[in-house]
Amino acid sequence: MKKTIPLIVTFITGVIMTVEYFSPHPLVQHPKAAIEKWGISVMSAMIVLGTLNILIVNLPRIVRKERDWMYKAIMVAAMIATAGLGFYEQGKFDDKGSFSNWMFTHLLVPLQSTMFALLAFYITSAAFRAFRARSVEATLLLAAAIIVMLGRVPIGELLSAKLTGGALNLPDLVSWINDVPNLAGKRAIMVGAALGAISTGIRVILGMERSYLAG
Amino acid sequence: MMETMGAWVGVGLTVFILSFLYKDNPFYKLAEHIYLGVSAGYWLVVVFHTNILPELIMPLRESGGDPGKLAMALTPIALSLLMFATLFKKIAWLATIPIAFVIGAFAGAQIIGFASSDLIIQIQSSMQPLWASGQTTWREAINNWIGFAGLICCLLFFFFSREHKGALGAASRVGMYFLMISFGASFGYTVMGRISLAIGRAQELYDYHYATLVFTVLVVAGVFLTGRLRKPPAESAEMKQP
Repeated sequence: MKKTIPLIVTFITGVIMTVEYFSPHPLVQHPKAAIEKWGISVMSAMIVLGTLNILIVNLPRIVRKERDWMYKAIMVAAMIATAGLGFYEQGKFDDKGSFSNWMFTHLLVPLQSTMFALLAFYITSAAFRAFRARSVEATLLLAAAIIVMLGRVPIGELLSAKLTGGALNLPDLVSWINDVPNLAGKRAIMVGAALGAISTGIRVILGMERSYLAG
Repeated sequence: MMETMGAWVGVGLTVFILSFLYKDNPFYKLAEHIYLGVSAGYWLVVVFHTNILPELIMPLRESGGDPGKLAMALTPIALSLLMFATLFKKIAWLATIPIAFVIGAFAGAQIIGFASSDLIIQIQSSMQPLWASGQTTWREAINNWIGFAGLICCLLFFFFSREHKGALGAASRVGMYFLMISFGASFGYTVMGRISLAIGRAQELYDYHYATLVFTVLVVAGVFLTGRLRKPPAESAEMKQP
């Protein structure tokens, strides 16, 4: 029963979501609309569960004063403060002048963009260490990356114009790389990924792929 | 007042996170945990007001005792509540029902979604005129040939049902070259995207240079002091022996 019920649920929802594309009949369209709505609700519940899990995992560690308990306390306090203010102001994160908007603008946005910006340094440093023109493939990878990076900044355009006497325009070369070889590679990956996703979807609906039931 | 305070907080947190470039330190950990907490709290509120309230609670209130509407309102609530069964060991398996529901819905949706948007659209878009005529110039035709040949060779590279030898091997090798150019270009675009984010942060640090200076001094002094105050590693048993 523990496996059968979820497999039946997967089969029914999967078949309805697939068949709706081929039939405009209300008998199919109404359940499809309901499944979509309910699916979003379940995913919302997952986020609430995740938040609850943060408390369940961290609160005992804070109480026991385990290693790094102060950071965990700060995390929980930040979460409660943001959620508390958000609920108090009815989730109006867009309203200028609200505390929620203040927290979003001055805490979340700088933190998020700095975290992502930090990756720029690590990607660059990793590339510096890993990129070696040892083979044709590695050379192509390296050359494409350098051309794209240089071609997207004004100095790249200036350098290419000065060095080649105007014969080569780096931004144009970047556009060509993007429109021709990059597009061909990306299309192949998308076609391959689509075929893989379709076959995985069929396997999941038919109950051949059950890894999500484990644990 | 609030804006200035906010700018100082934003700059402080930016400096705290950037301090990780030197090494892991308490300032970075502080900012990291604030980020985790604020993100979790933010998404909880957003999800509550955009999904839970309008899709779960309001339909229940608006059902007005109509059995059909009530059933439609109670089903997603029941499915959502089943997710919380995972917190109780004895009934944890019940949580697989809503998971199966979502997985099934997404599996069905992705079959159609990928087939119609990725597979068919991509194949359709790759069918470009290969000869210069009418509105197609020779330059475009050559580019179309390169794109078409590249796509076929890349697809052959992903074809694993036969050993890559002979003509198939040569074509798949060309396909690999195209893929390498594609990966290189993607890498370049990713780096440039991150760099533009870094420039945005640097601009804010420059705009509030007093705050930047104060927090930089604080972080440098703090990292230096925590490094000095850290206990030296305990001597091993062999070292202690005379």
